[in-house]
Amino acid sequence: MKGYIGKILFVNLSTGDIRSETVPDEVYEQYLAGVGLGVHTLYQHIPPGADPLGPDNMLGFVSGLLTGTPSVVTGRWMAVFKSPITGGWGDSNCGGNFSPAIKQCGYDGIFINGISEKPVYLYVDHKIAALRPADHIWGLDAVDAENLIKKECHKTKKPVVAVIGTSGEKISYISGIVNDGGRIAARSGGGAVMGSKRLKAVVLAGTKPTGCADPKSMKVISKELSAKIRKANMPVRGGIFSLMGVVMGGMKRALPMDGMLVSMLMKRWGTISNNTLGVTSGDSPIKNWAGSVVDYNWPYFRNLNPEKIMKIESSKYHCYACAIGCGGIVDIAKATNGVFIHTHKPEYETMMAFGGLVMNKDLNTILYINELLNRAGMDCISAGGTVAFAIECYENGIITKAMAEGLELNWGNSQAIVALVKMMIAREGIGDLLADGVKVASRKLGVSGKPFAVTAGGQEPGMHDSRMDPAIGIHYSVDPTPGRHTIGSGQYYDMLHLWEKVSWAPNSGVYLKADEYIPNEKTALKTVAMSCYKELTDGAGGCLFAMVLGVNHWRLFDWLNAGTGWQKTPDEYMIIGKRIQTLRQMFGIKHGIDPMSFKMSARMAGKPPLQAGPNKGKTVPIKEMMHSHWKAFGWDEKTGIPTRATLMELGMEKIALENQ
Amino acid sequence: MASKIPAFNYDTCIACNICADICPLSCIDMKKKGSGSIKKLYPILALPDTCTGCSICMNGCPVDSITMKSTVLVNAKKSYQPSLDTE
Repeated sequence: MKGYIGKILFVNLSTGDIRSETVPDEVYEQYLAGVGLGVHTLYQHIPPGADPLGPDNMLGFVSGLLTGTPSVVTGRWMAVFKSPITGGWGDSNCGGNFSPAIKQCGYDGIFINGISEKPVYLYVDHKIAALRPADHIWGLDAVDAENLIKKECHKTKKPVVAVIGTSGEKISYISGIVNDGGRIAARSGGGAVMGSKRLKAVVLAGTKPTGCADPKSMKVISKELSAKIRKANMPVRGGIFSLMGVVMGGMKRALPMDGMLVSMLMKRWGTISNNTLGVTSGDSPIKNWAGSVVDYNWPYFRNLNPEKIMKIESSKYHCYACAIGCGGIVDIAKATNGVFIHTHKPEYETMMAFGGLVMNKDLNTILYINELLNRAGMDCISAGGTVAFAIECYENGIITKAMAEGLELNWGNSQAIVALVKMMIAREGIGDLLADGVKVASRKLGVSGKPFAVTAGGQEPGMHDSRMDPAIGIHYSVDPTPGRHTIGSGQYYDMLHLWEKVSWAPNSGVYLKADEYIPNEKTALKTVAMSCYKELTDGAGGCLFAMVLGVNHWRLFDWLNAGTGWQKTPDEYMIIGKRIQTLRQMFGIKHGIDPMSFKMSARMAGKPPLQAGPNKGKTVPIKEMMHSHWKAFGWDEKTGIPTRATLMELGMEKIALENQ
Repeated sequence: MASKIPAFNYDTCIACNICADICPLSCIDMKKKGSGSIKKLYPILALPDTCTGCSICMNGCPVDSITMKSTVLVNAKKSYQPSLDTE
């Protein structure tokens, strides 16, 4: 018993063939589970040139190595696939209760290829795995479909469901996979892949427990962390955050912080604690990355004060195994005139994608859009980025009022924004053109490469400004899933304290913020360490908000040793992280990706620089920084392709030979 | 009813819902409202008659907040409680 099951399930929707396969221990020692097992499997099974929406693409649902063990904040699952947005590696993770359910069925992962003739759902428990007709739920939104299918499949154990909404069915490239009543594994276009396979849902109802090597030691660590989180409270109200943002945005120096601060914020407010702080500090991109707090000023951002949302929060909830509990349910009957009763508390990303990014100050419409997108299964970040793009197209006469069916797509026109989101979900009129995101829409409109087509590698970026934190710009541009805000940032790194465990991870120390804008070896090595540790976290099933508590609080290395009985050093675990990240990169190379094409848009790098606000005059030399990162990673400095020497060093001889 | 059923220590429970998730018969629900400003939901044994006393929830709890209590004692306490209230 080592925390993992040692088996994976393969399902071919074209033939109906279902089989399980044993996974050798060595695979877990080299890649853990989660994203590592996912990329190890998909690299072998998806042929080069495979159409992301064709039968050869494989969609995987994988559980983290520590999920199901007595560790805490380790309950995230990951969807893995070839991305229809980038044409390269795609993954996306989510919390809720789906991750342990995979293991309770007796598998570490479920991998699905082929295309079904008719809509189906996959039912799995600890005894059977079967494809069942889904005609009766095809066309339902994700929440209604989940409720119906749970009722239908409930025998003894309540089933857990991952499902696509109508956006996935309509193969919108910016759709995700939904579980637990509206949580979404949103990024990279996994919903479109699932929809292309006519797979409406995966329903899990197993009851197998997960064993591990040393549960007692794991519980000791869990109790220690849980006690710390219980005691960590922030004695302020959310109204103070805008002032804190002003202070943070003006700081000339940065220093390592204690990550427990994050748990204080998360357990009380959740990610919305960054709403006003982000605007005033310069973290939030405003007006499609062309504005600042000077544009989205007090009369606007005061409406996003987290306390306004706390007033309508009816209850909090925790994902499986979480000791923090950032989730919440908010009542929106009043905000939506009774159309919806409640919604998951919106994340900061949604608040800003439909707040500052589109200059919207109407909180009610953001709450409404949140539930619309959750039910449709559409990625809120990409949807917000695409709406911002559409507004700028309208401003520039590229989208006319007639094309927009009479909508006046002006900044902050909240009713027009809601109407446009509905059209995107339904794929009606101009919404059909926009439903695949900025990359496809800009190509169809003939404006690819224009400053207002803001993406990294075709993926709409997260709501964190690279001009404030250049390291996040590096991660936006070099990660095999570009535009991803959860891989790393300078702020995250400062909270990890990785250097206290890993011999080669640079100590942040106290440093000048201005130094972050100059390409250098230390910054490059920090971003390498950050991405390796993030892949370890995703292999273990860990949550980003646990990861940033830091290695001395959320003791990943110790849990992994206690769970598996391996007794590896932190340096040895970081090699696993490096191997996972390198294979994610090699997946893209195998499928024809040019890593330089993932470079974030010029506007995100401050070219031209902003004329006002906390990020005024700041530019990020992103190309040079990408080269530095690749060099520090042991990948080719110019091309971003992992070198033969690095592949050999990581024990990836077969892949080195294939790519000679 | 099984001879032993889970009892929750809400002073140490972290509301992580592992117990509710791993119960093979879904007997545990996150329904108990916590006190204080943070409105967390804690576990309760929603289906005591369905519970088999298998201890999976106790073993899975990462912070040892679940103990298995004898139902003989639990029932005895329950039947004794009303007489206390009426006195």
